[in-house]
Amino acid sequence: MKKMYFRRIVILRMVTTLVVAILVYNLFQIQVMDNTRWEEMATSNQHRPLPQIAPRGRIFTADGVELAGNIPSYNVGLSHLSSPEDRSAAISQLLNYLTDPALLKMDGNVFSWVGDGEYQGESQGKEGRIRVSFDVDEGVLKNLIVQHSETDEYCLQATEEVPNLMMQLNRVQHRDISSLVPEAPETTQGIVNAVKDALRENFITQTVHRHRRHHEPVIIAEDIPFELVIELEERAYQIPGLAIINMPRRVYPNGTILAHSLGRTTAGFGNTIVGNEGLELQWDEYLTGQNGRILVPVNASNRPVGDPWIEDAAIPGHDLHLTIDAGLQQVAQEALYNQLKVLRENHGREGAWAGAVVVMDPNTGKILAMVTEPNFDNNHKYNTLWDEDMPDRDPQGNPLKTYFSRAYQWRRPPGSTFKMLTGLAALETGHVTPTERINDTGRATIAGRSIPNYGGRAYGRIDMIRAMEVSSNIYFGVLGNRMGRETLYEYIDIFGMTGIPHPHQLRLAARRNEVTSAELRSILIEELEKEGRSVLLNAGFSDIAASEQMYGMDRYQSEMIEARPYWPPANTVQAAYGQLNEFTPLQMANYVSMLANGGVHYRPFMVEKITNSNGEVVEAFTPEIIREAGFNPDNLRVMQQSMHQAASGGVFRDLPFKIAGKTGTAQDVGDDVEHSWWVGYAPFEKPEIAIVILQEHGSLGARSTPIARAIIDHYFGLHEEVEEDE
Amino acid sequence: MNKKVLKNYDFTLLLTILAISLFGVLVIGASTTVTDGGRVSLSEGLVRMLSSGFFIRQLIWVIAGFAAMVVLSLIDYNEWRRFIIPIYLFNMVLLALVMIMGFQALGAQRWISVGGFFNLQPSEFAKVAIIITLSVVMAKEGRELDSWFDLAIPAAHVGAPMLLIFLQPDLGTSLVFIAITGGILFVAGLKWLHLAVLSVGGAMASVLAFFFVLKPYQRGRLIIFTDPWADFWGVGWQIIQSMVAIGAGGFYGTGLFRGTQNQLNFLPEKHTDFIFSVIGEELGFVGASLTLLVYLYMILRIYHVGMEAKDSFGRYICVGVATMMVFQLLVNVGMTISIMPVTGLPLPLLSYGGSSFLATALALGLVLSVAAHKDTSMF
Repeated sequence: MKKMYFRRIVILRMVTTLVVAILVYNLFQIQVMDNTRWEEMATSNQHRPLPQIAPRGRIFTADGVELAGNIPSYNVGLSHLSSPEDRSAAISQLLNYLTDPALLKMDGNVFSWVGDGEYQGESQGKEGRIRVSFDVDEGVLKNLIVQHSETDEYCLQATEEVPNLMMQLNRVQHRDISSLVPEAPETTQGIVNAVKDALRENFITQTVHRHRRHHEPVIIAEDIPFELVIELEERAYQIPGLAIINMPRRVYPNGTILAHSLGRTTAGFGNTIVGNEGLELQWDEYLTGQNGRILVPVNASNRPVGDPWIEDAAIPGHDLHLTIDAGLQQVAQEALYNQLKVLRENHGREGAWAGAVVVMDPNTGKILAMVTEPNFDNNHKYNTLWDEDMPDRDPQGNPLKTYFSRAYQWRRPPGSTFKMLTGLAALETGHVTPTERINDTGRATIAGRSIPNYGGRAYGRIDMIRAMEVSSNIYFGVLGNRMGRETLYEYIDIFGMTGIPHPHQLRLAARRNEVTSAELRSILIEELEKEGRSVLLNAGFSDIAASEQMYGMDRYQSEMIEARPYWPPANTVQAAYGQLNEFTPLQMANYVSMLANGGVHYRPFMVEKITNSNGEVVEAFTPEIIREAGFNPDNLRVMQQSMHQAASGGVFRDLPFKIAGKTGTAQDVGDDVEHSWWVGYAPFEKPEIAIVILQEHGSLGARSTPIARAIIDHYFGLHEEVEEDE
Repeated sequence: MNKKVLKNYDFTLLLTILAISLFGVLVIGASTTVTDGGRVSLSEGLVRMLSSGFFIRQLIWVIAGFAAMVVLSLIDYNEWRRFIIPIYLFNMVLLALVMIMGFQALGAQRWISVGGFFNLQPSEFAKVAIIITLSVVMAKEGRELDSWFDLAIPAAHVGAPMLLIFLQPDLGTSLVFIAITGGILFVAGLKWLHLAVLSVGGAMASVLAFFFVLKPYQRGRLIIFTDPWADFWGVGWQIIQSMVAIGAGGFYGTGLFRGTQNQLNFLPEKHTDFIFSVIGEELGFVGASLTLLVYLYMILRIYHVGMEAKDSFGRYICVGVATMMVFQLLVNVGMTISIMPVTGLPLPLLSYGGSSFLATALALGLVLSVAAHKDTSMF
C-alpha cells in the first residue's frame, strides 16, 4: 500500500513537470521564435498614424511675386475607432467644441471621399446638399419635442407641427439644413434648432461610420480657429481618436492677378489637394507634394499619451516660375479695366465689360502678361463654374462668363487685324505686288456679295501700304477673292491659328497613361501631325489645361471652316478682311509675334522653370520653335512697314521709337456687336514685345490704343503722362 | 514548542513561497504604477510603485497571509480533524450566502462584502476547506476504493460545494475541485479502470454539458482560445493582447515598468488574471520560464512533503494543495498564451487579490504543518 501511494505521487510529480515543460515550450515558441511578429503588433498597437500634409508647390512670377501659396489651417477629424460606442462618444464630445456649424465640413468634398461615390455632387455652402438618409422619424421628433419643451402647452403646440417638420425634413435630404429655420413657425423654433443639432450629429455620425479608409482620420471640421486648436489639444486625452491635422490651405496672395490662368484647387481623396483648373491642373503632378506620416503614441483607448514624432517627413510640392511680369500684368489689367470703364461711361458702350490683353516676347514665345476682364478673386470658394455667387452678369443681366479666360479660351472675329495675313499671303503667292493699286470705291460687290468699308468711305486707287493705313475692306476683299479659300487657310495654318478640336480627351487619355506634361505636348503634336495638322490650337500653347467648353468652341470653329457643306467664294472675301473666322487673343499674339520676328513660330509658354523646395531647378523650359515659315523678307517688310504706318499717329505719335500696330473692329457672326482690337509690337526695328488687346463691345479698334500705350510706357519705362486720344 | 517541529520545519519551502509572493507584489506594483506609458527608469518606477494602492494592499495581504501561514504551520494539522464538520458546514453556508447576498462583478456572483470594507471570495477558501475535509474523509480508517460505491462518498462530499460554485457561475473553480479530488483519489488508490472510465465519462459529460448546460456566452469564452481573432474586439481581445505582450517581451523582456502592452493598458485584468502576461512582457522568456521553474520546484517540494508525511491525512492535504496549484498554473498560464480557455482562475501567490492569497497561504500553512509534524506522534 505504501509503495502504491509513493508511486502515484511520483506520477503526479512527473505530470507536474510535464505541464511546466509544455508551458515553457509554448513560451519559447511565442517569445523567442515568433518574437518579431508580436513585437510588430505591440508597436502598431501603440501608435496612431496621422498624415503630415505636404504643402503644395507655390507659383511665382518672373519677378518673384508669389501668385499662389499656402497658409496653415487646421482640420479636425477622428482616427478610426473600432468600437461604435467609442466613436459615438468621441463625436458627441467633439461636437461640444465645434459649436459653430459653419466649421463643420459638410460640403461636397466630404461626400465625395466618404460615400464611395454615393455622395458626390454639387453642394452649396458649408452645410451642403445632404443626401444622407437621416433616420429621423416622427417618434424621434416627438422625443426631441418632449426633451426641449418647458411647458406642456409648448409641447402640445410643437407636436402639432410634427407633420410639417417631417415634410421639411424630407426635403432637407436634398437641401440645406439651415433652410429649415426660416420656414418654421416662431413657436417651434426651439424644436427646429434641436432637430438641426440632432441632424447635424446624425450626419457627422454617419460620415464617421461610413468612413472606410481606416488608416486615415475622417475630417469633421475644416479650418478651425487657432484658439480652438489649442483648446482641443488640451482636451485630447478626453476625446479618443481626436486628430488635428495641419492642412495647408491654398491662397492666392495677389487676388485677381492672373486669376484665370492660375486656376483653382479642390480637396482630393485622402487629405490631398488637387488642381482642377488652369495651371493648378496642368502642372498638378509637379505642384503636388508627397504627404508624410506622423505617429502619435496612444494607449488602449486611443488617447494620446506622448509627443508625436514624424515617421515619414512630407515632401513639399515643386514651385512653378512663370514668364509673367507681375508689374506688366498689373499695368495691363488696370489699363484694360479703366478703358472698359471709359468706354461705358464716356462712349455709351454699355456692354463693354469684357476684354483681354496678351503681351508676348516675339523672340521667345514667353507670355509676359495675360489679362482677362471681368476678373475674379481665386481666394473665393466658388464651388462650380456656374456658381450663382460668381460676379457673372453685367448690370443689364447679360451673362459675362467670368470664368473663361478671354485670352485663350475665347474667340472673336479679328476684324482688320487679320489683314496682314491676307496681304502677306497674297504677296507670297504672287496674287498682288506691293505697288499694285486697286480702286477702292467705298462699297463694292465682290463674288456676288456687297462689301462696305468702315463708314462707307472711298479711298480711290490705293496700294498695300495705304490700304493698311486706311484699313480698306475692299482692297483685302479683292485679294481674298483672288487667292481663294485654300490659299487663305494655308496661311491661317502657317500662323498657327487653325481651329483644331482641342484634344481634351487626348489629355485625359495621356493622364491615364501617366505621362508628364512635356511628353503630353509631344504626343499632342504627333497626334495633330498625323491628322495633317501643322500646328496646335492656340498656336501651340499647352501650359494651361483647356476646359470642355473650349473644346466645344473649337468644334464650332472647325465646322465653320471645313465641315460646312456650302462655302460660297464670298465667304472667303469676308474672311480676308477678318470676318467669319474667330481667333483667341493668344493666337493673335502668336500671329503678331511671327510678323515681328520674321516668321518664326515659337511655342507660347508661361511656365519657365520648376524648382523643388530647396530651390533646385527640376525642369526648365527654353524657347521652342514649332516652325519657321520662311517668308520672303521683302514681302514681310512690306507688311511690317504697313503696320508701322498704321500705328504712327494717335496715342503713339510722341513715342521715342517707332512701333507697328493695327486696329480692328470686328462683328460677331450674325450680330452687329462691334469688338475693338489692337495688335502690334514694339519697337518697330527690334521688337521686344508683341501686344494683343481685345475689348468686347468696344467698338472702334482705336479705342484699344490707350491700353497699348500704357503697356509700352510701362515696359520701356516711359512715364510721361499721355493724353487720351480719340 | 516541540524540538522536532523546528528540526523538521521546511524552511526551504517557506522561503520559496516567500520569494514567489514578494515577486508577485513587485509585478503587481509594476502593472499598476503610473509610468507615462512605460517611459521611466527602473529606479523611478520603483519609487512611483510605492504609491500604487494595489502594491500596498497586496503587500499587506502577503504579510497577513504569512503570519497566518506560519501560525498554521506550527499547529499539528491533525488538530483540525475535530473541526471538519463545522468547517464543511461553514463553507457551505458561505457559498450559499454568495448565492443570496453576494454581488456581481465581471458577469459572475463570486464575492460577498464583509463589514463593507473587505470583499470575500468564498470559493477561494472553499478550495482549502474541501482539501482538508476530503483528506479527512479519505484518511478514515478502513476507507477503500474498490467498488463504484466507494467512490460515491467522496463524490457526494465534493459535489455539493462544487455545484454551488458552478452555479455562481465559476466554471474554473469547479474544475479545480475536480482536479483536487482527482489528485487525492489517485494517491488514495483509485483503480486504473475507474480512472479510465471516469476520464472517458467525464470527457463525454463535458461535451454534453458544453452544448446543453453552458450559456452561449460561456461557450464562446471557452472555445475562443482556439481562434482569438474570431472575436477580436470581444473575448479575443484579452487573449490577443496578452499574447502580444508576452510575444513582444522576447528573450529578455522590456524591463520592469517598460512594457508598452502593460503600461498603456492594452492588457486587461493585468494585475489579477493576466499577471503572467506582465511577467512575460517585462521580464521576457528568462523571467517567465524562471518563474515557472521556481513554481515547479515549489510544487514538487509539496508532493515531496506528502510522500514523507506521517499519515495519509497529511499526505492527502499535500497532494490536494499541490494538484490545485498545478491545475491553476496550467489553466492560468495556458490562458495567457492561448492554449487554455479563459476561465478567470488566478495564478496562486502571484495574482492580486486578498482572498486568493490568504486561501493559498492557509493551504500552504497546512502543508508546512505536515512537513513540520512528520515525526511527531499524535497521541
